[in-house]
Amino acid sequence: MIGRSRQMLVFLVFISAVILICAPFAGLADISLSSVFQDSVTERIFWQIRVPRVAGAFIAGAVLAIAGMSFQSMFRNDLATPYTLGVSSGAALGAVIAIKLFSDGLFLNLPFVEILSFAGALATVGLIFLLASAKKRNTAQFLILAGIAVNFTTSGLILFIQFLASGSESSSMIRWMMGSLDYTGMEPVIKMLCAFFIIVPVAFFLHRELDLMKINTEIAQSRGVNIKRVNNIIFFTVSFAVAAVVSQTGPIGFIGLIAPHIGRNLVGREHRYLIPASLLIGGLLLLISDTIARTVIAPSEIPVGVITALAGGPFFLFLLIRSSKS
Amino acid sequence: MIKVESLGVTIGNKKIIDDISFSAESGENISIIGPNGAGKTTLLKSIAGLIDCTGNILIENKNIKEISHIDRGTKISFIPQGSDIDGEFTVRSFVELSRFPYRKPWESINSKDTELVENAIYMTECTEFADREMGSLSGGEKQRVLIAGAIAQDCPVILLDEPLTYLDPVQRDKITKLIDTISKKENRLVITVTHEINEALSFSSRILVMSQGRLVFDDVPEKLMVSNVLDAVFATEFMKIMNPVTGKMMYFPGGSK
Repeated sequence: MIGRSRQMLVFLVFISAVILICAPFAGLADISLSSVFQDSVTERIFWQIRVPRVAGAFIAGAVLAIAGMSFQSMFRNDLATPYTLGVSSGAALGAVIAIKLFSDGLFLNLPFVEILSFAGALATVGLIFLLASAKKRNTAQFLILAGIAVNFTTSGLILFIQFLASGSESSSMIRWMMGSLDYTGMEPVIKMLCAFFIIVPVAFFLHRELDLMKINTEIAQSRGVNIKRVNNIIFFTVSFAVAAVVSQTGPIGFIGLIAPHIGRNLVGREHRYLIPASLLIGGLLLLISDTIARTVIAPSEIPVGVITALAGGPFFLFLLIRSSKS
Repeated sequence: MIKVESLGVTIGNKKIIDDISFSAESGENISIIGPNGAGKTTLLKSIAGLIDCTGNILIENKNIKEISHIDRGTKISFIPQGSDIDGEFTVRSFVELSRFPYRKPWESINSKDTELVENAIYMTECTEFADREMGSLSGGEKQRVLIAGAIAQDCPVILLDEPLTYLDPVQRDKITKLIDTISKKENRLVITVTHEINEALSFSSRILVMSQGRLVFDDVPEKLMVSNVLDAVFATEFMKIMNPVTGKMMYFPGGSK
């Protein structure tokens, strides 16, 4: 198994490298390697639009996948996602408030959609943490149920704000909630890269704790894992990283659920292999989805969240049917 | 080795464990028996540091509440009932993870770890399925793997919660002998919660009987056999029949009192 896991990782690294190099050349404008260095317009499209978008898609996918994997191990529930604690609905609530207040999303030249969606995501998890910190409530079951309750409440508030919004505001809100990587320049990429450099080292550092917690919580405690400490670290790291990504891209579903599943099928359960595998698979899935989203009906663009949901749902069903057969 | 002083556990308004004290030494094989709801598993989990409790639990004269989680992992190994184990880890990975408290996060498994892991797998007769996933094992095999994990963890105290449940008589016999070997040959303190009274009487060096959160008997099996403690706590009259092979007394529940 270990030999196979390593081979799979090498294969994933190779595939990721190939797709990462090729993806920036796909798109409406025909770009070749030589034209990047010869033509200033092409060079600008390549470095200002294509490269940031490809890099951003890969990084966002990787962060969402590691977040999903961490929550699945922490909650011992393979159906947990980065949004289990209501991060995406909190972010969406922040975003729709910003759009309602400032229809172009800007105030004092500040990107209020981004700021309020980030704040909304953190406020949601902060609320859940406060509720869970009371004695005897800090259980995986409580956190999941509290996340569901918060999701429902914020969804109600979002619908209410949409009801009050004008047609164009409502359209902007729906567009944001579909998820998109439609940005230019490296600034969003750098912000998501910060999230990447927080969540990935933490996950690697805690890989044995995650193994033990996934096996059995009591065995983990008996082996010396401080469950409460590990839970808190994962809770805050994942929440912060996901909030940082969602505030840039909107809520992109299914990556955080599916990538760890595919990873487990390819490299097994051990987190020392599962972390890099999930990271690469998540990055690839979102990158491929985004490349399809921006090329299939070019010059128009399909929101990437639509692609991930359309491809992710049936694919997840396929995995379920296959695992029930085996 | 281990000293439990005035241990108490209250959940809600109910006292699950009420003022229990006892001490135990290395090499002892202690069984805790008693009816359902007597507080046996709670006592075991309290000793393992998994449940908040009042009173003191001292191991090698140190209060476990003052020992860090990681150090506790080098002193006490707890084996829960095997029903809720993620089945997709291989046996070898599971046993290797028992070396967690001895390794830094960035350290890979060293030769001492490997030796202990392989020895634990060999001792528990798990070698032939060491590379299989836990989910593919039978109840008896899984129980042996859990014990292999505890052996590899290399703690002076091993706590087992109902290791014989759901096992056929042959597997029960294997596990009981394995537990006996761990305590006697490896000189570890083994405390087992069990409902298998006859196995407990045959192999334990000492029996603790619990009823309604209290310790009502703490002595060698021979003394339990000549008392009526079991009849009282189980509210039944046990039939006592001598095993013609071993010459030991066997208990079978009779009618209600």
